[in-house]
Amino acid sequence: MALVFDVLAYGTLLLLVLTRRPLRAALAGLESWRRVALLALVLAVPVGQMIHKSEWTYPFVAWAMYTDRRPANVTWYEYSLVTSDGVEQPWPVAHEFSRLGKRVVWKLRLLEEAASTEQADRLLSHLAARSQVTHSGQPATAVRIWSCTLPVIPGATPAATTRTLRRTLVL
Amino acid sequence: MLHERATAQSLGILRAAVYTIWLGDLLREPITDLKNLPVWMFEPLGVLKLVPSMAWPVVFSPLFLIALKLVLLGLLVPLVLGRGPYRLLSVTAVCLLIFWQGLTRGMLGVVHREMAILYVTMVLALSPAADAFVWRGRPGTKDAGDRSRADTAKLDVYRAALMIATLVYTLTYAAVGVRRLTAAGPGIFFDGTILRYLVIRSAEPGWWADGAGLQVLTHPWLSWLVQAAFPVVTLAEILAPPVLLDRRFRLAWIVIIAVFHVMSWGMMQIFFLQNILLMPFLLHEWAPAGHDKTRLAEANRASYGADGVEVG
Repeated sequence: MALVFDVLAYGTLLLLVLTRRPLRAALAGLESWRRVALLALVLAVPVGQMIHKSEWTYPFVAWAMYTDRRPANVTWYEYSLVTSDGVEQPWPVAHEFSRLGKRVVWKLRLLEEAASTEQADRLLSHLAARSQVTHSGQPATAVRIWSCTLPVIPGATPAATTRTLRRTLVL
Repeated sequence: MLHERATAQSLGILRAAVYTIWLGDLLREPITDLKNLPVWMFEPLGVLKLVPSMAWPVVFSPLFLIALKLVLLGLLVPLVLGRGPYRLLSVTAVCLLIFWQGLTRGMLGVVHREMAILYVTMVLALSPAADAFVWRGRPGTKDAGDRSRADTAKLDVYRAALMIATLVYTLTYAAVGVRRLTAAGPGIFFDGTILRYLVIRSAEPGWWADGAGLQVLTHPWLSWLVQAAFPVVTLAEILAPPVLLDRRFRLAWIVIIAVFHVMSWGMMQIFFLQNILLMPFLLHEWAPAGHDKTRLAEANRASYGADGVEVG
């Protein structure tokens, strides 16, 4: 059913534009290879979307933004490092990167919520080994993963966040 | 229709703008970010699956990443200026841009920020976008470039290229809006989903602490505004392609989407900078026939009346 709606929507939009005389006239004046290539490019965008398997269709990826209907409480994860002398300090993972920090945090969340946390563990171990955050000068011996939950209800403030230790990863 | 009076100059302006945006992006891109991630995390996407797996440790080495950045810089500068063998440079640049963007997406998942401009760049590689608006060097020196290659016989190509570039740009918005309805149904506009997206994007640790998106919890008017805007923005996304057809609709669309992008930046730390920068070049008619004061315009007027309207 969704595919039918997709085809109808894209078909309507494309027909609306591609059948306009100025565009038809311009396309008619092109060499056939150029016309085919440009039209193929136009079709590749919605086709990549409808196939919805970006891992195969990249660069013609699926476009799904704000489509998941989320639970009333939002949950994210924060991290802390425990050093060999037992000192625990917050570990802002995003700050390990200049521009990709937010995406790394997002990836960690996906890995943490996967069926197995093996990949999350491997990535956290890798990042902790490279981290420069341990100001005490002692190496990190463990990573603590904290689950933070905030109810999305009117009047809630960040102070309403509940923070619980989800698990400890021994390095 | 938008771009129906475009000229070589119009397309050349788009070319210079697109490659300048890529240049800015590349200069801001710290290659070191990728080398700090483990290679085992990388899963090649799409066309990158053609690369042998043994090559990836080499690709993610600092030396290769820096070399890739330097090669791209070396391609983008002449493309901005419109100098050199355009087709060779533009096709090579597109291939390398697809490769470069595929590296981070293969590591960290597909994001969409650079995809629209990538599709527009593909259109430019299929078009003679360096026929005009090129840097010719200092006059009287041996560095001076050729005379304009703009050709009135190729007006169809210039116009088709601009129209198609704008169409693929707007299709990326339509794809987002259509998917939202097909995946979640209209109920998504009434269950507070957008508020939860704002909250998690703001609360989750990033470079910004406690983003403005959390304000929706303590300011009911803001919560109401965001929820009311959500279906309006979705409708504008779905109806993006018709911006080619009507000027007033196009202006309204630009306002809605520009405000949406700015609000996304402030409240969700998501900024489609490239899309915003492309707007004035795709959604406005630059150097249309009849208004250009160059020699091309004079040639055009042989085919078009003095008021720029096509004759015959």
